[in-house]
Amino acid sequence: MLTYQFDPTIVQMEERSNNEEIEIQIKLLQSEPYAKHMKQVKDFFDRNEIYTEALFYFCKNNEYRIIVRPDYYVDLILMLMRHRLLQKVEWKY
Amino acid sequence: MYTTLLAIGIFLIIYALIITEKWNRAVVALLGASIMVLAGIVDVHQVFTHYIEWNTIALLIGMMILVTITNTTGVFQWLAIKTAKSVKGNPIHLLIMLSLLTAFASALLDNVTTVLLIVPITFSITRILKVNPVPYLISEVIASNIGGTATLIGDPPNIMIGAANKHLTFNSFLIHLGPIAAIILVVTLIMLYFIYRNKLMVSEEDKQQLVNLDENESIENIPLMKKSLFVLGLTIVGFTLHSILHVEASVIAFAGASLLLLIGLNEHQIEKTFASVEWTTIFFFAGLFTLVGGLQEVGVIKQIAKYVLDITNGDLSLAAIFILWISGIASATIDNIPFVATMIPLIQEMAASLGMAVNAPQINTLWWSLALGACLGGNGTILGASANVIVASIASKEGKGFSYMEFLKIGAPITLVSLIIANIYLFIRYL
Repeated sequence: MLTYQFDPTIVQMEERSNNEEIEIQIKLLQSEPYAKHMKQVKDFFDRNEIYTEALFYFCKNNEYRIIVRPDYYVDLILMLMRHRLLQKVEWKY
Repeated sequence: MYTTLLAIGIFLIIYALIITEKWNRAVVALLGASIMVLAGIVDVHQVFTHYIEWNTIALLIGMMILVTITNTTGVFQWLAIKTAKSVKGNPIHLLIMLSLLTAFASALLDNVTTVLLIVPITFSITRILKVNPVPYLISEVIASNIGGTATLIGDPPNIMIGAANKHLTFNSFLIHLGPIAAIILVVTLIMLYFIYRNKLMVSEEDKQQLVNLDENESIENIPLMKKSLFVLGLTIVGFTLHSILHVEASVIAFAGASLLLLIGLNEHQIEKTFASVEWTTIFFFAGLFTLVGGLQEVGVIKQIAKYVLDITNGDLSLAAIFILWISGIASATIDNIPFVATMIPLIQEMAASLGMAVNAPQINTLWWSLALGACLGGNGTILGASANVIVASIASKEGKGFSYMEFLKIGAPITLVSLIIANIYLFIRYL
């Protein structure tokens, strides 16, 4: 199982899942530079020709909702890590 | 005689291969074109100077560049989210509004481009509302084919008809096809409302999720967005004036694209934009024009034109209705682009056989019949228009596919009603 940690002074994250998809609610506590990083994560998924692998919803007050298909969950977590929205990612068995 | 049979044989085989969609249609069309030239049926010089309709190709490339750049700014996403929020997530109102937005966009951009812009946003909006995206996708495709009927640049058949007839300007299309497209759209939206109104349910909580979205976050690049909208607006004004300026619509589109490339993008972005042009569509057109040129060269088109005049006893009113329904039925079953590519020289031959100019009012009625039949017929089945095929294949790839029958149940009655309305319109206005 892939686990992750985030810096609670920068971001708050909450995850819910069912068999079909995983939903991640994100609230950025520091807008700069992390709001830009969120857009970069979205851009990565926008660039390919699959539309529903990860759907990004940008709300007011730096709140985000991401609905991701299970087969793209790892890609999403790694992209969040790459853009420093996560502090640590680890496989736990 | 041998050459004629060979030309017909090549044309029919290539046509059949295109319909099966087993191979890339551009490659198949180019293969057919090459065989036509290699077999000596059509001369390569004639192909480049006479048969390939460069105005169609230039208009398509110009508009593709303009839309690609504008899309990178996020303005279309902004517009769609704003539209969805305006109806507060009411699912049936959302379906009507997204269809209207698609129809309007399709009148100004080509159908395939429009659906490629609206489909990803539709997946996103319907997912947040937890509602089935299929009714929305089907409605958008149908609206796109109707909206595209209204203008010269809205649908590939119209682009082809306009490019082949210099006297049919952007404004002519708007004046002659705009009103009837608007009426058919209203009737279609009423039909869609009654078909889907009890099938789409959304909870209040999910509606609130939609209302909470911030559409302004969709805008990626405000300076480029302003430039894009300015140039796009300027281009559309140019289309309305192209007959007064004595400039082809293709030149207007190319000038708009060049201006936006110059003022909006850097070297690297320009390369990326050129690469994003749908070259498959462009090569498909070039191949088709050559294939049909082969048939023209051996006199087959002339013979078919004579046959149509014979069975209608040279009565152009009857011929107009005949063309409307034949185009409608044919376009519902095969892609309307190759069909229109074949019909254009046929109508030109009909005019010549009757000793009339292609811009005579009676002949213009035949052009409007062809445009209405080909564009509206595209809604008949899933294979009727490129936009239908593309949306169906994207939906299937995303696990939200719909079957041939599912589309047919909605598309066929709407097409029938549309063609009946178009028939009445042609009769009252022209015949």
